[in-house]
Amino acid sequence: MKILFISPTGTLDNGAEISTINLMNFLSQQGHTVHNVFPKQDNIVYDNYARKMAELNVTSHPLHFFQWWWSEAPGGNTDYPDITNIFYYKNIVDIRLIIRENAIDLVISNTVNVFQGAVAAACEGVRHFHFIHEFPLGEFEYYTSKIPFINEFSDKIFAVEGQLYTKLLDFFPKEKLATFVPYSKIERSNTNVGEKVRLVSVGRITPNKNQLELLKAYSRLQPKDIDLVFIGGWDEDYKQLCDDFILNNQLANVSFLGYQNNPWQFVQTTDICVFNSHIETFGLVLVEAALNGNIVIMSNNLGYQSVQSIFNVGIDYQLGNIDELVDKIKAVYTRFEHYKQVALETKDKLEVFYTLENAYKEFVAELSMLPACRPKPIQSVEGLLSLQNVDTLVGQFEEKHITVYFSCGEEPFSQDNIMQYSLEKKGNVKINLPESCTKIRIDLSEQPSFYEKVRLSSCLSGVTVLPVSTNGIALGDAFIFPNNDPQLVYNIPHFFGNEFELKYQCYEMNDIYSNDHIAKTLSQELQQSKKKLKELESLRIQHYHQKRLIEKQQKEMDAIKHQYHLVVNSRRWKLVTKIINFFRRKK
Amino acid sequence: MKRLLLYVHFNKFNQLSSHVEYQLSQLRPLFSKVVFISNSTLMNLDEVRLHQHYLVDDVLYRENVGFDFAAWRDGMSYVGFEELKHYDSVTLMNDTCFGPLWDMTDIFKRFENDDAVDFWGMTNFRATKQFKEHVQSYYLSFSQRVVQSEVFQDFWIKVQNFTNVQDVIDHYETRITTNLTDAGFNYQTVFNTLNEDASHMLHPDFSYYNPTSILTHRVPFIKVKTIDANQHIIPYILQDISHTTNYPVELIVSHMSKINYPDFKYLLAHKYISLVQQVYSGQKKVAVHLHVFYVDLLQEFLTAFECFGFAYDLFITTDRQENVVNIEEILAVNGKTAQIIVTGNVGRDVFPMLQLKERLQHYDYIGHFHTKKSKEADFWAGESWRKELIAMLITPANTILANFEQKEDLGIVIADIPTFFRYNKIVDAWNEHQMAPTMNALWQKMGMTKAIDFGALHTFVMSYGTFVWFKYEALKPLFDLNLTAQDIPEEPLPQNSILHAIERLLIYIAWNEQYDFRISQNPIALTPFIDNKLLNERNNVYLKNVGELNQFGSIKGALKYMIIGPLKAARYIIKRCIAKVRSKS
Repeated sequence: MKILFISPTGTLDNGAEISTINLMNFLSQQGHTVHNVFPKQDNIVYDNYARKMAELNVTSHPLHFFQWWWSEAPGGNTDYPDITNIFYYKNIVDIRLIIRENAIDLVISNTVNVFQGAVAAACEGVRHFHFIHEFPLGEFEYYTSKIPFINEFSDKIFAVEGQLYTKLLDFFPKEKLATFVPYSKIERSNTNVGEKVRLVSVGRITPNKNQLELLKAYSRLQPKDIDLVFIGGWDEDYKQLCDDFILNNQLANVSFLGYQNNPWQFVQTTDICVFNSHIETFGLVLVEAALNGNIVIMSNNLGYQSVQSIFNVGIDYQLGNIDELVDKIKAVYTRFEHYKQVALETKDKLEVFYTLENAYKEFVAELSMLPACRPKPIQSVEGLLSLQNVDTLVGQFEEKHITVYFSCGEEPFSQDNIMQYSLEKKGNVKINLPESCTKIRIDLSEQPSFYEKVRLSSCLSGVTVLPVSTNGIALGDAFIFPNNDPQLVYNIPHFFGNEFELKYQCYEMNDIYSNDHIAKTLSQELQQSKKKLKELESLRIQHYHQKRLIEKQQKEMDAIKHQYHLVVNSRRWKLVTKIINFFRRKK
Repeated sequence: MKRLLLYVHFNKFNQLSSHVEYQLSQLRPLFSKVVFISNSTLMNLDEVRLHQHYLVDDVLYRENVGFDFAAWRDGMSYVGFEELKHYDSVTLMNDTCFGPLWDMTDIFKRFENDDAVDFWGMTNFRATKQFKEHVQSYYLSFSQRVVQSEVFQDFWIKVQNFTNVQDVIDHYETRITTNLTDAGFNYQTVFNTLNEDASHMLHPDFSYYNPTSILTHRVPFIKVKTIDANQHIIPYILQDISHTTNYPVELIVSHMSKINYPDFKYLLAHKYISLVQQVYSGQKKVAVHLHVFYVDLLQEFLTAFECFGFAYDLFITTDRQENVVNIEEILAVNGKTAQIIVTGNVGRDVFPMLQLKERLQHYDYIGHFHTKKSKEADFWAGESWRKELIAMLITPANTILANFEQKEDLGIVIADIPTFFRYNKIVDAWNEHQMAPTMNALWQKMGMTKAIDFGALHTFVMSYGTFVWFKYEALKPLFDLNLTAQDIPEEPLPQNSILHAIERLLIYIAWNEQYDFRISQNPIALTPFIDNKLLNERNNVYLKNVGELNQFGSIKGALKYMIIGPLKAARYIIKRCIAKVRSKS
């Protein structure tokens, strides 16, 4: 079967993606052809992600995007509706093409936050499944308003087993809803043997993760010689709050290890893991802790409750109830051996139960008897979402920048030494060079673009400085950049000063009635060039014939010279000449 | 403004003159692109330097055919005749001028902001019988509207490679102006000469015949040829340039010293060695050669050498072995070491120096001195001569070496005329003339590339007594002669010997090698009235009588002077008279 995934972020740093990647790997190994559409991030992130896809034998389809999620979703932006909608449109068309070109049988949207795949699948008459990891609460509450759409455009909806599934039963018909368990392939590390009991928090230090609650509980613990270790990066503001709290309460044995690639390497057998999140969709970290055989104390958010109900993992406390948390820690601390034994037993059971097949068993079952594709009403107007050449439209709305790179001496251009200006249709930009700058590079946006005029002039003398190199085509003052990342490189000798003005004007691309339209301007020049070419061709013919004529005449001349010399050097001629000369009066 | 400069360069010695480099450095900030079109070759280092300092964008080498007009045409073709149209202005100039004497920004602004000016230049030439009114072509700037016109493009595409410069003037220099004005374009010049009084000039060519007006009208460029052509007033022109502009006059002196004889009077006025800003770094290898014929004078020299503020290797040559012990003793007393070489009593001090070729060629700067006495003349002749030479070349050695270091093209430093020669008439043009055949012969033998007839010179600029500081490369041809003892006459040395010729040749050899010279001033100041008296002694000034045929070079020379000359004059007068009579009738 040919399955197309719509990935949430195109990164490798979140639970939903990790779970999806594992599923894609599983399906690929099962003999399915797997494709993955994902938002194309910046270079390094994209490279890592694409490399991972290639490793899993998954075909990558990175898409240029403006917003990938619903604009009401976390991190969304409703300030630029035009460009947002244009890109949504473009992405839907892109996915439709991918479905069509690869004869996709099933489209799977791997987060509730995306919809492009659902629309594309509906237009193409292909089945669509939606995987939902998120509770319709807090920042994700917005999607309750999208439920009619999700219901209508999905042939099956999979929700995380436990609390989320239960909650979503309120919104979706039971027959459409199925469950799955997010799966993370946990690297087993040799757990370090500890000598004394410690409290350990694993995860980024953020307000949602709520580590301050643990610190508050910790400050009330007696004796205070128990160590508290935080493993994970942090949000500066929240970390500052934690630091202030530690300072004010004179907490001596708290340490922060920062971000660690494999945090479980730093966790010991005698550690008690404590998780205090306000909201979690599932809580893979809990599963990871349990699989490492650690005792887990966690808040009673819905995600953790789901994990607890499925795997019977951990001891929970009422979120915000610090007294209860203190009591739970004290209880575990005083009866550590008992709780440790329970944790190790849980670990053994978990290792047997927590497999990819089990986690996605309902999905796998569904796949084996794929339901018929239910026609969606939008198919009647699918033509509205089929304009393929939307790049021009996108180009008009996309915000573009002029980026100026500075280089001193022999140093290469780098992102650390740049200035950015907004790129308009026509503009003047003042550029002040840093001291001892000898070279600049001007990138006129990052996409193919066309300029009727680009001139960089010294403010000191008004003299235009010419680029020493460019990756575009220079036609006098006009520049055509047919490829991405247009660049103009200028040497800046000291005598031009350090203040410059960049004047530019884009070609008219949209108004086909304008006399300045790029096609009209360039075709006029082309016509003139063709005329000149004709003249030159005619001259070339003339040149050829005249050359031959000269050669012929040269040969004739040589022959005449030869004959002449024969005559004037003959005895008859010489003798007669001498006699005549002898009698000549005027010599 | 997007301005293009097509700069034509030609140097018959394939060198990049310092005035050209300066000119480009001053003009470069005014142009977006500078194409350097060379009708000669450039040393790779010079080209690299031009690029490194951003003085030019492109260097275009071409065969030296068709003069500057064909070179500009090729420059336009190199840029592309279509591409030219995208420049706001196209400027053509060549390296036949010194300048800019003043900043040109305002001139550009004035002409470019005036819509009535389609093209402009520095000076114009009024209509005469021979020529139509035109802008002189050493500097021409065309606006975009001219460059885009068919008449402009047509003119340049059709420029041919003429071999006669008069053809270039007739067909191109005048016609570029007339073709454009006929097409309705207007020109202006920095100095409009049309209504200037030209009655005192052979032709109304102000840029050539009237350098004074060039300065008074603040034309930023002064022609190289006008310097040679107006030598009688050039000292004052240079003085004026020095006082009223920022232009370094030494660039004019340096260039003129290389392209024509280096010892013209106006040039000599600028040849005194001067204090330079930077002291000598001590980084070069210095050799001092002292020929010790009179051992009793060695101490005087060693004492004088104490003022050297730099490390040097001392080479002492002497005529006989017996001197060596004495020399070593004196050296030991002075705590000095030297290589002592016995050379025999051949060739005075000069031949011993030439014998040190293998050693000296590894040094950057070389000082050559000897224990000067004059046995033939009065005691004071030798005594004053030596002491003054020491004062001129040994005492100020630190300054001399600093000059060598700072001025790359300075090859030799000689002493000024000793006072004995100013009180007493010893150097005589007729006697000096006797030296010319030997000098010419040596010049040929050294295979020199520059042409000079020493017989045509009246006197020579030389270091009296051959005390000298030099860079080995500047006198290399002399060492490469590899003279042997057989080439040198035995003692007692006759007059007009090869040694006297070498003494007179030094600065000219350096000149041939593209090096300039400087003179170290005699600290004893004497009023020029002394020279005046000496030079105007009537008993010494007389026309040599016919009996002294050697003064004309040969009997043929004498016949030419006495018979052929008057005959030719008579023929010319008769021809002119006949022509006059015919024209009247």
